[in-house]
Amino acid sequence: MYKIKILTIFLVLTVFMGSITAQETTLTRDKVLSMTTEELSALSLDDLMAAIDVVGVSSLEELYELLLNKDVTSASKSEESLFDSPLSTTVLSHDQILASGATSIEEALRLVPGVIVREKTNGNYDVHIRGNDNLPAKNMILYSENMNTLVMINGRPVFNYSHGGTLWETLPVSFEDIDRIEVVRGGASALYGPNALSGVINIITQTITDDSPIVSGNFQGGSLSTYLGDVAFRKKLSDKISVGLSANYETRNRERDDILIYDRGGSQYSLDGNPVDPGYFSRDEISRMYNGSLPLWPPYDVKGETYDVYKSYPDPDQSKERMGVNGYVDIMPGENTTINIMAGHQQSQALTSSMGDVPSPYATKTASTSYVDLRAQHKNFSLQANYNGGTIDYMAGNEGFELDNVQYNIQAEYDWNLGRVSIRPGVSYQSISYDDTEHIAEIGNGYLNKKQTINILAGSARVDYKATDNLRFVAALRAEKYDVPDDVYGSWQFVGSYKINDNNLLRAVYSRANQSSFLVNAYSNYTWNIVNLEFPRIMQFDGNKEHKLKTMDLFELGYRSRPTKNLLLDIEAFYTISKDLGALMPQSTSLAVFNPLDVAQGVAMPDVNGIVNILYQNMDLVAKQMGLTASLDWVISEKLVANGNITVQQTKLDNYFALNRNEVIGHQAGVLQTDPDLVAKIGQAVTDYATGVIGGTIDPTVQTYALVSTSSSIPDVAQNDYEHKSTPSYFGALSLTYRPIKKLEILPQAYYYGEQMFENQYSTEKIEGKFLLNAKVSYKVTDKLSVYVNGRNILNQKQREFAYMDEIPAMFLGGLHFKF
Amino acid sequence: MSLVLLLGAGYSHVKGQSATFKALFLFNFTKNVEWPPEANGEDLIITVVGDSEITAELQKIAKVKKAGSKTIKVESVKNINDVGTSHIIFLGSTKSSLMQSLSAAQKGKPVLIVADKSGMWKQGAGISFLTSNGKLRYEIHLGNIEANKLHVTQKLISLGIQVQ
Repeated sequence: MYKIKILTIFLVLTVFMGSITAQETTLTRDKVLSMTTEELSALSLDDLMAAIDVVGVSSLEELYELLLNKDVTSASKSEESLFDSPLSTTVLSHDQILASGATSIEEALRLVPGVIVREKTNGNYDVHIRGNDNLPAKNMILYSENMNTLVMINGRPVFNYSHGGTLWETLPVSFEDIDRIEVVRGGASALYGPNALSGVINIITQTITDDSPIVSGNFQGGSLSTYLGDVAFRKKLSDKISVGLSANYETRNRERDDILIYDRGGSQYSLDGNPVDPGYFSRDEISRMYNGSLPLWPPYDVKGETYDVYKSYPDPDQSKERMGVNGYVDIMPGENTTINIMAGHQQSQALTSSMGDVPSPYATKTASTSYVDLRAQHKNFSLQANYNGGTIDYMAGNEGFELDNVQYNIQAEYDWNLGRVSIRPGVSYQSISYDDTEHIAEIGNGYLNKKQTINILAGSARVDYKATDNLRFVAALRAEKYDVPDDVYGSWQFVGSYKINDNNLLRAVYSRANQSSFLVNAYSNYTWNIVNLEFPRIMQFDGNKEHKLKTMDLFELGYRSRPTKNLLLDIEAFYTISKDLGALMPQSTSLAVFNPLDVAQGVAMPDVNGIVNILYQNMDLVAKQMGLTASLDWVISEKLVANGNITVQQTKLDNYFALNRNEVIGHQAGVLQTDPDLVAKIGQAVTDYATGVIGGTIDPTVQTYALVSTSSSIPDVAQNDYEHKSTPSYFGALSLTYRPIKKLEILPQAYYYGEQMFENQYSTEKIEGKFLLNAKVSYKVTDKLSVYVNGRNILNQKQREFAYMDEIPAMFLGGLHFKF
Repeated sequence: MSLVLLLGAGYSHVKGQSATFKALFLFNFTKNVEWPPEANGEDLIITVVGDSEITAELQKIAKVKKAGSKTIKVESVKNINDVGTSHIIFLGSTKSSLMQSLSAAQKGKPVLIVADKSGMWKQGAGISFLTSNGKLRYEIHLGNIEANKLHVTQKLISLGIQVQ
């Protein structure tokens, strides 16, 4: 009875309070809309805001704002309207990324015009801006890594200076960290330093404000045992300090758990004594396979641990597993000062394309890295300093590929605003060290064999001159002093833009950007004692401290138009010239007797085999790319938004060297083997060796072979005007966002590309064109919770997107997104 | 493409209320800003750079309301070189690239610079409009406002999003 009384009182009070609330909020949308200008003008500021809130900003206007009037920072290093950006620029917002159903940052980049994204294994991608990929061709798969694009998180480079490229799985952030991704196409070394040849991808994290949700998260799971999720906590503690914490986890499986063993040029594989063709094999089978008379994947010991096929592929059924944690502290000690500190850690394992030369195109990469990034701004002065370090194994189970790395970057800039002219001088210093000594059994087994460092000191200046309200000129210059190579490199960017009127903008760009030095190119000192190929017996890989750094010149014309309020059209035509490309290529091939003492003693016939010296060397190759990208964003109605883009391109090569590494070795070996004096030279080499041993000038435990003869002959096979087809001649994306009711969003999205040819050192693989259809359907249960189903590649187009890699089937996931 | 443009044009007539609301905000700011004596004059001048919709809405207000005892005079210009002495300058979103030049030209003058794009306080705006969760809001940067010798009411500060 007592409970009923309490309940009655509660209900009465609720109804009473409800009626009071109803009286207080009698301001309705219709009432506000019927008010005259005079009546609205009479309202106080707080009443006016209440009235405006009742009506709200129309969904359509909000869509215009969100999709067509974005801001961008990366194009000029200061915030500006995307429409006014003088460079080819795209911004992907957090909401766009989530709505698209992309399951990774790399996949989200499929929405960006001019970006070619190919999936290698479930969740592992190749990402290139505009192309120029797999150059020089006919080489290791390593050269297909994107060494032309600088990926950054809040301006902090997350670049692999060991081999070049970006290890996407090692990025510590995920969707809930990200406010937006800014992509600038075209050389930007003058602004961001080396490796921004084809552009920059800058991942910008969320700013913590009063409106930030305290907690937000995204979780989804589905086929191929794919589960991914992240959660972020944020709190503005006071006007002076905000804190945040995020964590993410992702795991994905492959459709198969066997590994491709490919033909490395005349391979004669057998399994349990029976000849077999190249193809997919289990780890157990690989461990029992032979190539000719040699075991295919023989085990060996490294510091008491067995390196074998099981170490190389610890989880052959798993394509990716990664986790990351990030902490944020934003401090505003004074009105004109902000300090942002971000720190985190990530661990990852990815089964993806190999960076070395093993019987399989697959390799497992593992990484455990941490970082601290400090950004400070006081009035017009900005400072950024960061550390990134940890251990990365680029090819698990292969001695010499596991390295400890430490990177420090510091840069200071001053934004000097003189009205129509602003000048931004800056200085920066990078120090990048890699060290393999902790992970090799003995010095000589690694490719560095010590701690090696590259230091880069740079000075830069950017002048932005608005000659009139419509005419703008930008000149950016940067000079970089490298210690290896010991040289100064200049990069620049000259930009002009003319705003014909508020809705039409023309732009023109000429820029030069350069690659940095990479540890493998400068310092390689790796002796590969080959145990699973008949020829050669030894390959010696050497870096070259005097090599020239690759440069890319860009000429670009762009036109951006907003013909109506709901339509944004962007067209860019580009022409690039890349020079001073380089690769680890054969310098010479030698024949040697590998049992000279036995031969000298007359107990054996000469065991003659090859020694190949591979040197990082520049090539005469010149790559010329011409292309055009067009994109359209169209808010058709409050319920329907369409986006589309296409890139067409052609890449031509001059001084294209049509032979692969093995063909050069074969040519040099042929020169040696057809030498009519070869037999005499073998005899002389054995005699000289025996004499040296007896005389004490040769230590047979160190110098185990007798050198017979050497050839450095390079066939003259250079071709001009050769069409390079590693990048599809066309690619792009289409998407529709349909909201039939406010709570429901249906987003079909397609990514497409044409045929391509991948030229590898062992073979050329044709990749068919593809039309990938994805779709995400989201239902907003409340303003704070959405549930969704997400289909990727729903037409189940399984053909490979990247040479030798997995054929990936359709994937279906279910998930939820929340923010409180 | 012509079909796309035609369809796009068909929807371009759709207009929201935001121009009206922004104009009402601008008028309301006049009640919450104190200009220094040297800025006194017979009229309160609001100059709009590159936004005909806001200009039209402000002119409607100017016909029926005064800013205190002053007549509201609305000027519309396309270029920042044409901006004359003003109490408030509103920079339309399509002109936001000119904010840095505008704020440099108006430095130290008793004028409230209002931008139609968020984040413009970094380039000198005192107040910048933004849309957040379907609601029209404004960022307010006291440093930029006070540098132009203006004082604002606590209400204007508290109802806005203070940035620094």
